[in-house]
Amino acid sequence: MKKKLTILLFSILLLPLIAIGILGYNISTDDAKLLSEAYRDVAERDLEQTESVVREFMKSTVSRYRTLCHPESLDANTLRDIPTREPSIVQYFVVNEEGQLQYPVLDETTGTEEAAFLERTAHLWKHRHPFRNTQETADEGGNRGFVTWYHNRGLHFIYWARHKDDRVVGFEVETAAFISALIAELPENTPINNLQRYHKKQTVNEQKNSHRLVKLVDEQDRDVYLFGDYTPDSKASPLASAHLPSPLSAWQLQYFASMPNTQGMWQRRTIYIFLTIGTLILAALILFAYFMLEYNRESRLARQQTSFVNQVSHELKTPLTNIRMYAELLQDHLDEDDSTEQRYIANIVNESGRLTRLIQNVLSFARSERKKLTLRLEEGIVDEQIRASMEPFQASFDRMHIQVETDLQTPQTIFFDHDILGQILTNLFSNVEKYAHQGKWMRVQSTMTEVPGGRHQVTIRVSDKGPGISNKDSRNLFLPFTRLQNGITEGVSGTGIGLTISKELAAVHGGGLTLCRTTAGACFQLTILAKRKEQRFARNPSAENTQPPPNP
Amino acid sequence: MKKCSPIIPGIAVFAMLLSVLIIQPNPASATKAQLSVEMSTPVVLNRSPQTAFLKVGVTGFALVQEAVRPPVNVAIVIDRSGSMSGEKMARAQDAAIMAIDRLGPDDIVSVVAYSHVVEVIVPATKVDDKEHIYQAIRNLYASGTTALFAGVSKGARQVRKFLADNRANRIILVSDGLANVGPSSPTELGSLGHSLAKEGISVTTIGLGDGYNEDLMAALAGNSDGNHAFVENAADLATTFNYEFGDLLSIVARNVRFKVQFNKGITPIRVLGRNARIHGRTVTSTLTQLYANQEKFMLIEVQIAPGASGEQTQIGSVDITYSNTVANSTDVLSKNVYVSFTDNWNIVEEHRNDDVMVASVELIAAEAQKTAITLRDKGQTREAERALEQNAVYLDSAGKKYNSARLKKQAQGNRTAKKNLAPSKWKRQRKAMVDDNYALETQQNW
Amino acid sequence: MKPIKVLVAEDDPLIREGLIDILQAEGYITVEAADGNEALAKYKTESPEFICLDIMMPEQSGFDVCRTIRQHDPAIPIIFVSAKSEEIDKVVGLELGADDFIVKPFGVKEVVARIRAVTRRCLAAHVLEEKETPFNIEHWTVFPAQLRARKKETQIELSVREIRLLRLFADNPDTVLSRDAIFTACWNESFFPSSRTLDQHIVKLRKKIETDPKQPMIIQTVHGTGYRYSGDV
Repeated sequence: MKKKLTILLFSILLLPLIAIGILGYNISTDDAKLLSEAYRDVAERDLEQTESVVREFMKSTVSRYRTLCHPESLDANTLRDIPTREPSIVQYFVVNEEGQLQYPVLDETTGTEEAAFLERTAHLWKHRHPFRNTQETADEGGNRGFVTWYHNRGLHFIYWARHKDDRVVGFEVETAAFISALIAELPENTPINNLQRYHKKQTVNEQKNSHRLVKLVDEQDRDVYLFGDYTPDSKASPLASAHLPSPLSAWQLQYFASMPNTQGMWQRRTIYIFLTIGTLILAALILFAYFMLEYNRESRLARQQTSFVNQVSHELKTPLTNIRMYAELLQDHLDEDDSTEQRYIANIVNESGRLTRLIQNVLSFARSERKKLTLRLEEGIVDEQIRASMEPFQASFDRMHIQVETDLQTPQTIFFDHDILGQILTNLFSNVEKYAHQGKWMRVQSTMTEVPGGRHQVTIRVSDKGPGISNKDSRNLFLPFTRLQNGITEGVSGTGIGLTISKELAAVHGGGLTLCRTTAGACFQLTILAKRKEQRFARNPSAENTQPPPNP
Repeated sequence: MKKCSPIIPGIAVFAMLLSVLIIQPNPASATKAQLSVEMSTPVVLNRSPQTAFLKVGVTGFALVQEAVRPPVNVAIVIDRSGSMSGEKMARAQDAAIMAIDRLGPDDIVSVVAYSHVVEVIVPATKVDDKEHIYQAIRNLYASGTTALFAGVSKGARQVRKFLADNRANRIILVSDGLANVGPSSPTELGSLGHSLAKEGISVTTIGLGDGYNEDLMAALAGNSDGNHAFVENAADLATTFNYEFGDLLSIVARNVRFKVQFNKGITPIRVLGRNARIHGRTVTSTLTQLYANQEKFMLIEVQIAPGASGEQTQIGSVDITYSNTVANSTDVLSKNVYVSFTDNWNIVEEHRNDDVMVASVELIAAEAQKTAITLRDKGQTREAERALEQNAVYLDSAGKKYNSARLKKQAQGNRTAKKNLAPSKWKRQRKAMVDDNYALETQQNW
Repeated sequence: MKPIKVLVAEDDPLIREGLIDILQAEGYITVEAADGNEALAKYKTESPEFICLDIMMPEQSGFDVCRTIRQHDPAIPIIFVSAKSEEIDKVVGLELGADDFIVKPFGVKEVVARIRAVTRRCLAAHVLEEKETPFNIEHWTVFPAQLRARKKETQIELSVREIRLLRLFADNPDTVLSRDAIFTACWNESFFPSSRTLDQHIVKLRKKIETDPKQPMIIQTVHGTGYRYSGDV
């Protein structure tokens, strides 16, 4: 029950919050998309500057390479000599008109470098003709270009140009020199702060690095060169990227950036949105927590009250048992003729009996609050129970000169809950004793009628000639802790729960307790439903059944 | 900075003494480099093909006055990755400042610092406002990873701004770590060095501590005719810088080109210690620069076909061209190579040139040591141990034969190396060996 | 009539004492225990024939004790005495095999009635000796097994002790029985109540059986000595 309530309350709170959250998230992600696209544009424009540096570098490099493809002579000595001075060249080669490698070739003058070159490039000459079908790597109608390949995990490339006589002259480029030269052209970081003064004198082509990092990465995405003052996450993806031109077309420039300035706005907006949502959620949670707390506090309080009443009642029971037991034992031991002492003891016994009933009522009330009442049916005779319940009051009634009339018509043996019936009757008699003694009269009637289903309804009426109960009072009569304010009950002890419990107990027993219309005094009518059927706790038949007394 | 100040004057004094020694006048050398051509066995047996070594050496002439030295164009490239922080960075700053202090107003300096990114701390400039430069260097702080390739590239860019044939164009790289951004293999850095050398730029690499890649650093320096040094302790950086600047300030020739042409019947087999090209009977090599009073040489192993007994035969010629940075001229040196044939072994032995023999043995042993390093790299410790022992035995016997203390000392070095193959000692030992071999092969005298 | 041993397990000493007084007055031998563990120990050493168990006791609850005892002896009568009057307790107690349930605060009469009922129901047939057949004293016929006596339409309830007293008198008509003799026959050797206790029992018995208790005809007082049943009234 409690869990259900919690879930209900929680979902009532949560569902709108989720809706708000989703809405807020959508708004902010839409914004984020727009703004990140805008930022991407900025990044691409920024990266474009770097790309133009690379393009410039490539342009001048290629033009130099083109020149290098036209040495003053194509004889071996020249082709061997130039690479000893030219940083870009590892090895020249010449392919003749027929597409045959003319230089270098293996002969007695072949050097180790030439041999190594032939080995490195063996597959180029063997498996394809690199200078025919490479339109994509060659410019100007396939007359020059780059050819790249990998050897021993290293990137190698050659630049070649077709001469007018249809010979192809090319060379293997010194990759390290190429990369180094490219890196040298790319911007570097400006050193920190107080050196700026010094640098102003110089002509520096460094770009201002404002919270960004540009990476040159190779075909395996390994960093080759970086510049910029931003440190991206290892998992961060670049805001913009661009491939390098041939021959490093597998390499990329990658642009990483933090979200400064232009993004600050976006961040602030996001923060506001989430702050608002967060505040709403927080408020709702606080509200929820408050309700839960309040609810828990109340139920805990109720539980505590109940358990307190239980505990106190139980604690009371032990001393009460002792008082009652010893009073009765003393009563037994006193001589009959010690009339004064007998009277005193009788008072103690009576009062402890009353206290017992009070405690019983309190406990029953606590129990009924917890809805734990169950019926325990036992065989018995209703009239006998009435007499037994009346017995403890006898002395008191005598003393108050209350005349008791009985009209008991239920001598049949039926199944009913002795405790419940006893308790209700005790409450009713006790009320007469407390509130209606000046009427000096009480009548108890009992009848039994058969009702459909083979069951029997027992009706017991307890009437008195006391002050009666006003219409106004009768409305609240059965509510707990109601005590009539007509002045008569003043000064009379009572818990105010007797009738409440009696009514509930009667209901448990399938009946009810009502106030009957009378001309004078009060009249309570109790009905209970008695069952013929054997119940599960009726395993305790009286001794008479197992061993009936001999009938004289 | 303050705590190192007592060191600087001390080192400066030492350096001055050193330069005084170097600048001793040598009337014989005048203002031209000296070419020497020596055969290990000027007399060879006239039996079927004989193997001999030809040593082609060139010695820089002495600088009479420091004032006439060619101006320096140097980029100091400093690794400022996280591992350099603290003592290393402080010492590197001290060393750089102290070195720059030796430069004059016509010299050009630039300072580049790199981590994962590169910063040009001091763009190439004439050293006329030293305090600005020092301030920039002092502002360096260490953090980040190691984009060594980019650092060198940027250093090269600064050098290129004032690249001239009559300048000592150089990059000095100080690094303590493994390159991990950009091209990072010895091959790639070697290629870079090679191409820089062609531009006339040498790269000197100074490895600091035991965390750098000595193969990469040696390849970069070796292919560009720079120097290489293993500086185990940051405190020694200043000394190293001093040596380096000592070389740099004593350059007398640049763009030295060797051409050895052998006659018919003579076959060059290999060149020990240097990059050279062999095409048929032609051997060519280059040397970026030549320092005053220092000899640089190459050893060519040749096979000689038998000739007529008793006859002195020309087997080839050596031509050297270089830019004389003092005289601002292009000098040409030529010499012919002769051998005599005999059928008497004793005569061969009698004429044996032990200096050339020792040089050959040294370089052959250096090759053997490289093999041992490769074995150890592969985890074949026992094989490496055996190789080093064999090398030591070889050096010992040669040392005895040629009565060379150098060889004996080298034998000892191999035996020491043998003991230091354990993982804990190897890192340091390997750097020391690469450094020693480098000095041997390039005749780096420090 | 053989004495019946009752184990009273109750943690409140006053209630325990009161119950013991009631039981002894009824003619039972009592063994007491103040908690659940002691109750089980006493059950094993004293072999009672009847147990009064409080439910809320230290160490072990009456339910637990009941459960353990039931495993050994499914027949022994057990009465729960408890302040826990809730239905659930009654249900549990009865399902555990309790024979009755006395709810605190209880009256002496209620306790006596319930104990007698349980004795009658569960014990009489087993514990009473062969000779405990109905007998007559004056116009009364006493049924020991039922703890009852009848005279014409009148039926009275008797305690075990009262039956023993009546038996003693019936077996010794016209004999003056000294208080010691009566004690020896009807009380246990170990327990000697005051002469007043005996007198009160006689008073109570007279109330039940004499036509006029002030002028006793069946059990007469022999001043200074004891009591006598004159068989020929």
